[in-house]
Amino acid sequence: MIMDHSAEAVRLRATVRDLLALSAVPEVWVGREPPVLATELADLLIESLRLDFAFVRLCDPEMRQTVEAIRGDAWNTLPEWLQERLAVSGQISRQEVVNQIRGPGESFRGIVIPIGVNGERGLVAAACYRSDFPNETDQQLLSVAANSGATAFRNAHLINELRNAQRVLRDREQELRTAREEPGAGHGVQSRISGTGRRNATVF
Amino acid sequence: MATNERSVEFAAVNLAGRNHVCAFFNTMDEEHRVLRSFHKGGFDRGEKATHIVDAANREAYLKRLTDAGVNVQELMDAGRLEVLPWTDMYVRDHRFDQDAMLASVENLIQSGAASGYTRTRLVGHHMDWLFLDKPAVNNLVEYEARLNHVLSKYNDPVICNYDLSKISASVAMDIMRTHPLVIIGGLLRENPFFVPPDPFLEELRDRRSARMTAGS
Repeated sequence: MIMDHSAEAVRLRATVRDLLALSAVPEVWVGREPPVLATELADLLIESLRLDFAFVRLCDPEMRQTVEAIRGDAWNTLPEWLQERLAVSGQISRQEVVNQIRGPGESFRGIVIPIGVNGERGLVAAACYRSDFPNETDQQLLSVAANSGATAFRNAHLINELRNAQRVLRDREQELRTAREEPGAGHGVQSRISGTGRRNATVF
Repeated sequence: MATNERSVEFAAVNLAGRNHVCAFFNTMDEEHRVLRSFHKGGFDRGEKATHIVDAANREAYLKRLTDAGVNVQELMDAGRLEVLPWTDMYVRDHRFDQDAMLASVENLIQSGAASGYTRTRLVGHHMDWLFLDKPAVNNLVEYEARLNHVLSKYNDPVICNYDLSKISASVAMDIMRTHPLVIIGGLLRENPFFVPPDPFLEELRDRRSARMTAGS
C-alpha cells in the first residue's frame, strides 16, 4: 500500500497532540461542580473533537448521583437505541459502533462507549456525519475523554463530600462551644455531637 | 533571525525553539507563585519584560510583582519593565484584532532588541469577554496558532496566561493545541509532537466549513 508518510506523520502528531491536551483537561475541571462536568465534556466532544452529536452520562461510584448532557440533534433516536440495548442485555458493557443511522439530515455513524466496569460510571455516545467515523484515532480520543471526565466527576464528588463533612464538623464545634458557654443548654447539643462523632467516624 | 543565542530555562525546561507557552491559573496568587522565577530570572539577566494586563488590575498586578521581590519602580523607570493595559494591544473598534496584535507583539520584541536588550520576556493576559463569544474565541485560537509563526523568528519567550475560572474545557483544549509548552496545575507539560501552525489553521478552517455546511 502506498502511503503518504508526511500526511501520516502530521496525522499522528495531531493525535499525540490531542491526547496530551486531553490528558491535561482534568486540571481544567479541578474545582468544578459535578453537574458542570457532563456539560463541559459534551461541549469538548462537539467543539474540540469536531463531532456532530454527543451524549454524556456520568455516575458516581455509589450511583447516588447521575448527571447527563446532550449536544447536537443528529442522533435523536439514541434514547430508544439505549432502551433496546438495555432490554436485551441489562447493561452496556462494551464499546459499540452503530453504522448508518438515519438522522434529521442524512445518515451518520455513531459509537457508544461505556465508562467503568459494565458501564457503572456512565457512558459516552457520539456521532458524526464523517464516513470514516469512528476511526482508531476517534475511538482512542473518545475513550481518553470519557475516562478523564469520569475521573474528574469522581474527584469532584470526593471534594464535595469532604467539604460537607468539614461543614458539619464546624457546625458541631460551634454548637459545642456555645453549649460550654451556656451551662444548662448543653444536654441536647451533647447528644447531637455524640451522634455526629459516630457519623464522622464513618466519613473519615 | 534570533535576537539572542542564549536559551531561556523555565521550571528546569529549556525553552529553546519552543518559546510560546500557555499558562492556566485559578488565582492571581497561583499565577505569581508559578511565574515568579520566570520574571526574576529575566531581570537578573538584564533582560526586558513587557506584561499586558487588565487595566483595572494593573495596580494589584504591580503589587504582586513587588511582593515577589521585583523592584518594580526602579525597573519601570529604567524602561526594563513595561506593564501595558490590554485595551491598547488587543482591541480595535471593540473587537479583538489578531493582525494588529501579531504586529504589536513583533514590534515589542524588535523594539526591545533595538534598545539593546538581549531578550524581551512577554507575558500576556486575556480579556474575559473574549471567552463569552464563540467567534471571538475562534479568533483568539487562530491568533495563538499564527503567533507561532512570528515567534519562530525570535528567541524571546511569550507566556499567555489564562484564567481557568473563565474558560471551558473545549476552549482550554484548543489553546493547549496551539502551544508547544503548557503550564497547568503548576506543572510544565511539554508537547514533543507539537503540530506546526499551518496544519492546525487548516483544521480550524475545516471545522468552520463543516459547521457552515451543517448549518446551511
